[in-house]
Amino acid sequence: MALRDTVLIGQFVPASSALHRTRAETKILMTLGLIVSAFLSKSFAVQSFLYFVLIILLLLSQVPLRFYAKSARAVLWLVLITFVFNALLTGSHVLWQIGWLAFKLEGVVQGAFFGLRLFFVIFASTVLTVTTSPVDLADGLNNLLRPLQRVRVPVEEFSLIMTIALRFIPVLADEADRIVKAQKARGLTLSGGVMQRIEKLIPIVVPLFVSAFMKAEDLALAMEVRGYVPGVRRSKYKVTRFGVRDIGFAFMTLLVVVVSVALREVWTFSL
Amino acid sequence: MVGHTGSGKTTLAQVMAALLPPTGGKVRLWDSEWTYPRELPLELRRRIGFVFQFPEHQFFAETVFDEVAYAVRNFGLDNVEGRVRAALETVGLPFMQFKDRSPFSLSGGEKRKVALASVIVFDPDVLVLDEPSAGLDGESKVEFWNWLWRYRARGKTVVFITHWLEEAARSDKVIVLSAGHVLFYDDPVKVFSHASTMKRIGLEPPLAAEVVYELQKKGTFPWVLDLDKLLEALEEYALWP
Repeated sequence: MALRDTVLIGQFVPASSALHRTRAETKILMTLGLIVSAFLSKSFAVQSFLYFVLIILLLLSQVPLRFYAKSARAVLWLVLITFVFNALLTGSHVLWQIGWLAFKLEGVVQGAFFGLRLFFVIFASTVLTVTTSPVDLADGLNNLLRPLQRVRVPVEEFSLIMTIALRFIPVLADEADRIVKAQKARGLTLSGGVMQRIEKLIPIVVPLFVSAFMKAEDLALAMEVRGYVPGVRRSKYKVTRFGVRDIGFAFMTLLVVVVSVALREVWTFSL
Repeated sequence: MVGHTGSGKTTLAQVMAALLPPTGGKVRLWDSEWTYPRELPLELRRRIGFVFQFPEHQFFAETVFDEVAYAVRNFGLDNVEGRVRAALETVGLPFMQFKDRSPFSLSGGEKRKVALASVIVFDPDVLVLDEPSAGLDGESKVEFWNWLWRYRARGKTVVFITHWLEEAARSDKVIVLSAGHVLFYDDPVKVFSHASTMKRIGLEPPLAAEVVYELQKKGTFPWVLDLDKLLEALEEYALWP
């Protein structure tokens, strides 16, 4: 239960916003475009522009901000560590000194920039996962990667594996919760040193693996009796077409990339 | 504890055993109160045994001995071998024959017995079981219930969830849950006399209760739940030749 609450992967929030109704392929390419734009330069102008675009997307998604805040919280520590390391290790103008720890001006600027960039990437990908159901997402990836089938990459199988993996995260999280409780009832306490703790995880990890394998076997049988044949392209229950909305978002992505490239030398910081 | 699927039986059972925090109210265990997220102290944890539905899904050890000894070691109790031996013999598995076998290689019924042994091995005062007989065949079920009643006879409190109302009828008290609320908490005879309510929430009363319902429509007849008492009553009321 706890795991399911904190990990947003596969946590699709259903709504009927413009973003929700856009095809997964378009949204995947858009996310890639935004991430590439963010990594193109060290320009604060680009950074501000991208955040402006991001805010528009967040509003367009019609998903309450707390769903995004959750995934932001998950990387907060990573961002803080990035910032602190940059601030300590880069530059020469000492801003603030505690003992032998010296925060330097260039580092603080660079750390802030990298931190903002990291947040942007997380938010941009969360827009994708929050507005796209895992099944659509896997389908979209499948379609985008289809050309690889010519060089014998089993794209259909990969996308199926991904769909199943996403689908089973909450199931296994529940199972893990049950196992932890059962072992707690038998006196398990998760305290002690690192090695002790690792040892104490065995009674949780082993049953979880056993149950995952049993579920996998059941699922494989269930799919087989319902006529699943690996590698065959299956028809879709819902057929959607690329529409005006897709063209609009694709155009917007292109515009964002172009503007980011154009502004890449504006208001940068140097090392 | 009885109730339809999704009525909150498992939730209540887990709250009782301080495994799940209550969304409202308090959990009082003997003289102390449990406040989440504080872990229950081990000496209190030791007094409550909890058996999950399909408890054999929580096996991890290489041998039956280690599986059963797990809790004994966790609680730091003495005489590990003696306790494991006693627990295995109680559930009807000869110690020497089973101690070195892998718990994963046992039959369904044997697995369930090992799972139970791994809980009663620390001799909890209260034993909470979530549908303990689910997935067992008829014979194993009867054997299991007999064993459970023997455990209770040792002065222990046994709380169990069941769909088999014949068994619920043998308890001292029955809790009936419906849509997250306690509908009844009373003697089985009183609970099962609410025939129409029980049927409305999808619980089929025990066979004896059904017979009594019909007889009471025809005239005065005492409330009995088990078959032996039903036969006696039939004789007494001269309805039995």
